[in-house]
Amino acid sequence: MKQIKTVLAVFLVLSVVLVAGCSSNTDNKEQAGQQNGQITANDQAKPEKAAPDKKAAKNIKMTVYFPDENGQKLIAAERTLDISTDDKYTAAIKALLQGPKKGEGIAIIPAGTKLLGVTVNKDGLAEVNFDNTFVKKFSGGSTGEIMLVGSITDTLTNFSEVKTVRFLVDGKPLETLSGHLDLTTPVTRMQNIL
Amino acid sequence: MLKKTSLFLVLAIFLFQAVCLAGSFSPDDFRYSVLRSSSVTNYLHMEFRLSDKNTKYTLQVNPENKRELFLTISDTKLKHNNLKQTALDGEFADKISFKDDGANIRAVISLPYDADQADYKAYMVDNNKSKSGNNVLAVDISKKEVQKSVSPSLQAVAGHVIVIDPGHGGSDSGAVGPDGIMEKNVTLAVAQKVYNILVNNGATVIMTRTTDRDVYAPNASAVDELQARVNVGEFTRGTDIFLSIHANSFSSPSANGTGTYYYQYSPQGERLASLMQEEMINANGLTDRGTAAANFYVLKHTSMPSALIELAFISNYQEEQLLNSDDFQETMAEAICRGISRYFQGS
Repeated sequence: MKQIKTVLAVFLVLSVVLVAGCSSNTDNKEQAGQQNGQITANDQAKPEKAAPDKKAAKNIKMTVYFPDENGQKLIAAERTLDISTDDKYTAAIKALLQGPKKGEGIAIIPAGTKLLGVTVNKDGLAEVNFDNTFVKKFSGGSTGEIMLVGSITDTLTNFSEVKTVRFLVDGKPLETLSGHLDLTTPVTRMQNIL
Repeated sequence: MLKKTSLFLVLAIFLFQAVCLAGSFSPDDFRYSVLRSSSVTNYLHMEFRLSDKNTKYTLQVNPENKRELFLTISDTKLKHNNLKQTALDGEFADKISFKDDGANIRAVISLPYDADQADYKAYMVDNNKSKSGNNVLAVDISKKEVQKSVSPSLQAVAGHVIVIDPGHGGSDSGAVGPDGIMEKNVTLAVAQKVYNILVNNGATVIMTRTTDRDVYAPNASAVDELQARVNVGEFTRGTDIFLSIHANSFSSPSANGTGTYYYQYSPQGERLASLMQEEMINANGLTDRGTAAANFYVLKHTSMPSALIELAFISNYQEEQLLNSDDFQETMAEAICRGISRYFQGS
């Protein structure tokens, strides 16, 4: 078991170096996909396995989405995510929590919401777990739901290994936000708002 | 022989009550039914059995709420002195509640429309004709004839079964606007107008709710509540279309406009959505957000063509005022019905 862990760790360091060396986005995604097959989200954050001078290399570039002010489309925002302490999925959701810069649309995750974790299984199902502020502070109708679910789902499915997204609140599957979207089955990429 | 005995028994009971309950009235002495006055028109007939045929009564509109009628029965006390509320038919009147102010009984009859659209009268029933016994006060409520005019542009709805779902309700207010207007009240008001127009044009219309209530149960799980609405569509015989009416909301107060959603694997649902959307935009002049496929619970889980209308944004101050206005609600209801009629015309 320990041996496997060491092999995995070496592989992780190697792939991170490879990712850092790549310039194009699609290469990034493929590398990320390889990582995901074997490493759960939480296992990635192991600073002792990486040399301190490699810390700067633990960045990935990716696209996250915020809704426009009228709630009709998502606006793509480029982010460089620091994955030296967080796994990339957590880092991506944290970028959404931090909100948009000027011209990138509006913040959509209800203020004060805490991210409790993101996991991705081998079938490509991402489970995003928020605290209950996510629901309590949510005030939108259909459009609010589509934009909130869409920004998270479309951001996470930018990782090519992520196929579907399930929403959890305090660890329990969320059925709906406020009675519109059916969240009882995992959500697939919402292409029509991109 | 048996018939005679039971007749005597009934008479005996009436006599007994008349003697025992002089000057009092119990909600149990109340009954109602929907009667037919001609081949197309019905009316609500209510009977109140009183202990004294000379009891004075008045029937008038609540000066502060034109959707309520006050029936005052003088010098009569409410038996048990409790407040009791009874649901009525839902089409002509929603409910009646009884109150005793010490001397008189005040019955409040809640209407699903303004009283000026109704014909109403109170009268003592001729003792010889009454089925309920002696001293029966009756109240009849019917809708004015103008309401029943069949519009040529809507005649295609005749004979179809349409389920209307006023979004949210009861413990779930839906979205709340900056001025405090609640989505659940707007959706119900528009749904009732849609109901009236469709019924007057010969459609069979079933509502998932006709009052401010949860369809499943207060504070139920989201899925139980939404499935209960779906079930109305599924368990009603021959439902042709399912229509859910909502008001939209977004965290940015500038978001505005009208939009309609359908389930992506339902071409008929998409057609219905497009026709209603077109009519609504032509009528209201708001931003056209178009139609879109959405994985909404009530669309996904209904087996018949369905659509979900977002009338306008209650989170937008201007549109909140519109949503709360009777004129806008009527405009939207008429446009929705034109869209529905065009849908049936083509299918």
